[in-house]
Amino acid sequence: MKDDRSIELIHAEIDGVLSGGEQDELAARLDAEPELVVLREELRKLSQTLQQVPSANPPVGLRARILESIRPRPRRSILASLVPSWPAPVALRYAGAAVFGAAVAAVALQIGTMDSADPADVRGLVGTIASYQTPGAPQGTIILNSQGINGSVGTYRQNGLVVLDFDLASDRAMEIIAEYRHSGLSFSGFAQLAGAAASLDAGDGRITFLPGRNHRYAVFFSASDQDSGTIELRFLADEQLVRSEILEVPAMDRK
Amino acid sequence: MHRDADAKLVQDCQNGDLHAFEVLIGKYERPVYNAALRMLGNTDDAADVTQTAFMKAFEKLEKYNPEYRFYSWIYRIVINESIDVLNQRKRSIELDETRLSGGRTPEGDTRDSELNAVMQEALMTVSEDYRTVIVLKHFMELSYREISETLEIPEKTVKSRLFTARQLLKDRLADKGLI
Repeated sequence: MKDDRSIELIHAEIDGVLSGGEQDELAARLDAEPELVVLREELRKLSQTLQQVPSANPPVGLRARILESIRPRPRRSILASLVPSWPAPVALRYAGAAVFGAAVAAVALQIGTMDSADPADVRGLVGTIASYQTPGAPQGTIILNSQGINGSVGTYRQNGLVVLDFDLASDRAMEIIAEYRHSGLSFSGFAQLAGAAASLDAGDGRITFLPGRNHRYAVFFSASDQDSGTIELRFLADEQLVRSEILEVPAMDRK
Repeated sequence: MHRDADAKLVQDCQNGDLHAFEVLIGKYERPVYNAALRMLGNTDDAADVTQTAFMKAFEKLEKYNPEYRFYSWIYRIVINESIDVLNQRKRSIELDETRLSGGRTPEGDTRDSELNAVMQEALMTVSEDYRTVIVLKHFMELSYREISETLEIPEKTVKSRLFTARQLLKDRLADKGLI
């Protein structure tokens, strides 16, 4: 007769949690009850069959999806209280952020880079803080999920501006260099959206973010023509290139 | 050691280190996805549920109780999310046969596809409570105590459900000639 105790012992044996005494008890019960032997064999087969079912690989890109979904959304920083809250549409927010960025760049030039010959050459610019919300769909996105760099870089266009949106985390201090010499773009400013205080060097056709582990910035460019172009992104750790990517910037429909 | 390492990562996350959570995702993405897949029998739903489970874990990280193991917590979330999806399916008037029988079944193109398909079909015929304990015991390889912790039910109930679940599954698979 298959009583509860016998069944419990059989399951415990399958699960590998039978003590020495219980093993003896089960053996005695199996000797006395042939039906138990059959049940034990069936359950063993079931357990073996379940073990043979292979583990499935998660779909490619799932981890990137998860990471993307948990990235911190842009937040207003303490300096945001110093700038007006813009109830304007997203497009105007971009424009405002760019103007504000340019204003801070000008101040930085005045106080820190008096010997700079090129007004576009801004060194040590501290992140301008502005209210900024990533608009709906980017025109182009690079998803990074390897070599210690995770996240995305997207391009958006609003009101004559190209916005490069960095949302990245790295497992070590990372320097990012963006080359855009042939893209018909000129640097207009940047906003730091999260993370520790950051700064960048911006010269003609090139910006360099100083090392950090979390990169959550928006960089604003004005477009001088309707040409399409590319921005080459290089990621360096300990001054060694660990990754490079090309971001396409489609032709701009300026009005 | 496993527990301590996870606890440290969770603590780092709570202190704002996003990378620590990425490490946890890397560690548990596969088992969480497989738990969802066995519960739901559909790869697309399993991927969605996996994403939701990690999102919810991240959002509730501040409320995480370090007395519990991280994997018990994340497994509980994925099981609950899977059951929600199953309930939505039951309510859906557009429920179709393909989806119920697995749709894109787990690892459908591999040499183990037949075993996978038959096992998944059999799993889908037992109730969610029974399927859950089978998944946690045989696919996640949790102990009675860990299942008890994950589902917040007494160990005695875990054993009782597991014994019944095995009996049912054994009968289903015997009908299909698999065992």
